[in-house]
Amino acid sequence: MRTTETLDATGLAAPSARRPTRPVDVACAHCGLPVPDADDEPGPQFCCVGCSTVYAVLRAEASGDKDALRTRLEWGTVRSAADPVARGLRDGRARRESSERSYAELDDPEYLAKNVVIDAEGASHARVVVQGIHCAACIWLLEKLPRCVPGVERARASASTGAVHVVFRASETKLSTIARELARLGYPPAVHVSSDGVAARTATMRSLMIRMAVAGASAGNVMLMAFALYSGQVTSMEASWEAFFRWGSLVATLPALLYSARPFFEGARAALKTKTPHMDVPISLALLVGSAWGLRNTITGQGEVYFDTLTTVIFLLLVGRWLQARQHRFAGNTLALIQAMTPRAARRVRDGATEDVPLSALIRGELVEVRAGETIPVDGMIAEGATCLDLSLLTGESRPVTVEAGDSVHAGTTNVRSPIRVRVEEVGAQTRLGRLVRLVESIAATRAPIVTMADRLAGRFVVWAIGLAVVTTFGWYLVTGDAGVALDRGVALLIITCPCALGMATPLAIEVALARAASMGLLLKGGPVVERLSGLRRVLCDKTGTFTSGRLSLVAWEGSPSAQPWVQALERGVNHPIAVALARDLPASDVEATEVHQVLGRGVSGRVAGHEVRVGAAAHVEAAATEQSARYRAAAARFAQTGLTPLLVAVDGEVVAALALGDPLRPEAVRTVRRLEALGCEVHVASGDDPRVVEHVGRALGIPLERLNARCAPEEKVELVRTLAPCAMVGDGVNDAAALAGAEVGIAMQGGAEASLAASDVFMTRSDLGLVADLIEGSRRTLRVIRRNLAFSLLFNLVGVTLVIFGVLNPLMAAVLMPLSSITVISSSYRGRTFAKEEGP
Amino acid sequence: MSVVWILVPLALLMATAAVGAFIWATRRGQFDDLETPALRVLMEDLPATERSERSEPADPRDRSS
Repeated sequence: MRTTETLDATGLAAPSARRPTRPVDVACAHCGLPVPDADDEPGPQFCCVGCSTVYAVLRAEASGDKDALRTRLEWGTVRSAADPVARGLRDGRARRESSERSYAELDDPEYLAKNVVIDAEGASHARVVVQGIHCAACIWLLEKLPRCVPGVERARASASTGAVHVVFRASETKLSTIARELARLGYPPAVHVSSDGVAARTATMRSLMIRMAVAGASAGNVMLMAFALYSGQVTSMEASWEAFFRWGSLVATLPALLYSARPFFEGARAALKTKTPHMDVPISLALLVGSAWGLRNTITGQGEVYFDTLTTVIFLLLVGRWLQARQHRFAGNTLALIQAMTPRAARRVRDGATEDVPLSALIRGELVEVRAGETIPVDGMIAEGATCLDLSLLTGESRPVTVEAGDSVHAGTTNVRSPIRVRVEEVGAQTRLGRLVRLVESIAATRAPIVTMADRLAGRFVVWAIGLAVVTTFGWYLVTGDAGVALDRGVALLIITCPCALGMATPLAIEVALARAASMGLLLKGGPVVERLSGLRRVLCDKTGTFTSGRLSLVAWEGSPSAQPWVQALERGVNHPIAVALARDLPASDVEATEVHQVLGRGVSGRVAGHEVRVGAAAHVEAAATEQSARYRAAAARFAQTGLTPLLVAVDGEVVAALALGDPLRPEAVRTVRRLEALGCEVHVASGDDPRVVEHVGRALGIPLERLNARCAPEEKVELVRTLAPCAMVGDGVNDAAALAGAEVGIAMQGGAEASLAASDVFMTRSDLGLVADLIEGSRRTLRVIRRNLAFSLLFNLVGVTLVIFGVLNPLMAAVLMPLSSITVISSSYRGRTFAKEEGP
Repeated sequence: MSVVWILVPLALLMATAAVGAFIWATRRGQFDDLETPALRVLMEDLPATERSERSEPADPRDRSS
């Protein structure tokens, strides 16, 4: 009985339950966090290697199995494939990282000199940034590194920076060994994260914290004395006491004013010079005028002093700044990227002898040898040898690609299987990788920093504040004829209109939004991203890996299903992307295949259950041309029409089935496109793929033809981004990196190439396209909260201004108004519904 | 009430000392990572045969801010 796999109207089969591509909501059996890339197979699943290891350790402990415990701790990973924990490791995060990469570039003396520090006792300290730290169990596992690598004395991991501080003896182990072990545990090191930026950032954060502390101590002590002065207003106070407290407040204010507030003054000076609106201008104005007038009043013993308000303002604003500084993560240096992605030396082959030479010494036409586990240093053509390459740095896919003599290879990819010799064509900045990174750099450099809504508001604000102050001063002078009182009122107005809540409104709302977005799996690189996102109306998406799963899968099978287990048996032992896909997607069988023979690029043949089975292209299958086979060949042709890869299956010389491999759409793709359109966004597609395939995908998603772009080279994608500006770009490969940098907001998919992560503004930690729609929705809601906050702070300012104009304001009232406005803004930020779990399907 | 003449300067002195201590701690990097130490509290110690956890390795680069 022949059956045809159900195909939908577009010729692409809907994913069914037996294929593990549907995202399922499964909680980690150890820590309860959601499992990325989960499937609906039974048994415990884990969110990370750390959790699976801890789970197994605790189980072994409970069962008293000391040997298993020791083995587990010593090797840090699972040995038995039948163990359900192993299954969790196999299909989980461990899959994602690069296969046998040697990390030899870490032993380069230049790299070591820059990144490894020797301490007084001769131990080496290195800071390795790793990917995949997920929860406390990961920290636990990473800090057990000394058990797994002899020579490592201590390891200290940090959840906030994702870095591991490793202390080791250079005489006993190498940095590349440590890196390989980290990768094997499931935490591949990100070699290209430069350490220079880190030192600068740490210094900035520390100085900010110290300023905050000084301002806080100052504000607290000034408040102490201010309370005495308040009570002096209610009852009377002797002049000597009053002078004492006033002078005391002045002295306590000085550290805050002269040290902590300096960033505001510098920011105001820069803003005035470049004539850009910035909040620092009204803040500095209020601080300077308020302190100067307070000094005058302290000396003359007249009028009011507002030192308490001023120091509190400084403290609260610095808190806002500190929050903003903490929000800036994953600042990547793309120039350092290329320097780390390609090795600095190559093995040149000349007259049969090999020698290590620096890259700069290579010229076109020379031959270099690349061994297994090494990174290819140049762009070129394979002259000798055949192997598999890991293209993950360029495309984000880690499945190996088979290449042989005559094929082109690119710098930055890893040679996985066997040594090859490559004829040099391009080196260094001229390689495809080099050109792409330079493109990214040039685009990033032209991007102007965003002037936030709050800053623009503050710009108009200053004018109003100064104007009102002048009017008030004159008004009161006319009324009372007393210059001192009039000036008092004018200064008070400047102080009360100081945008304290305004300064906190945006950072607070954004801080909450970023945290909530992170818990949903969206990592934003900084606050301004949110504002930029909310205004976007166009989204440009890459196709492969974004709309599709990026993974070769069995999409259609036409023919007798009884052949399936045999094909599965045959493909199981073959190391080829097509075989891996078939072995994974076909139902598992118990039969064994013998005499398996693989012809590179054509197909596989072997004996299963006494029959001769061949799977591959039509020519390889060599079946007799019968009525039946004509039908299957027609099916294969049909598959090819829609851009799928067709294969024929022949048993004992007779064609029994035709199958198609393709890259199926993600299940949530159609729904996400609808959601984005409902949000008012146009969805465009750009892909380097064949127009037929892109057309098919476009039809399945309901995207009109004019918004589809096929055969896009990376430079064309950049052009597209410019034409569609302002737009958001969603992509995953290095060929998307330049476009990601050029877009208003670049969104990198999970599992993407490292270059695209560095060039993008948002990183999705789950392979769920729906997150893009969540992102846009969430950022719009955040903007609403920010506007609400700004409205509140302006309202309080209005109240304050009214009080001053009528001469009712005194320092006590100011001291009440200020925290009141700040607390209102704080609670409004936390109560705001920004990024939230999607309700309903 | 004249005790206030002594108390206020004393309070300011203590505040200065506290700020000084904070600056010292910040320079030594104690405030760099505020999230991981909270996780470390939850960690299991291994069975008694294993050696105990050492304290934080001091980063030789951490001599100034």
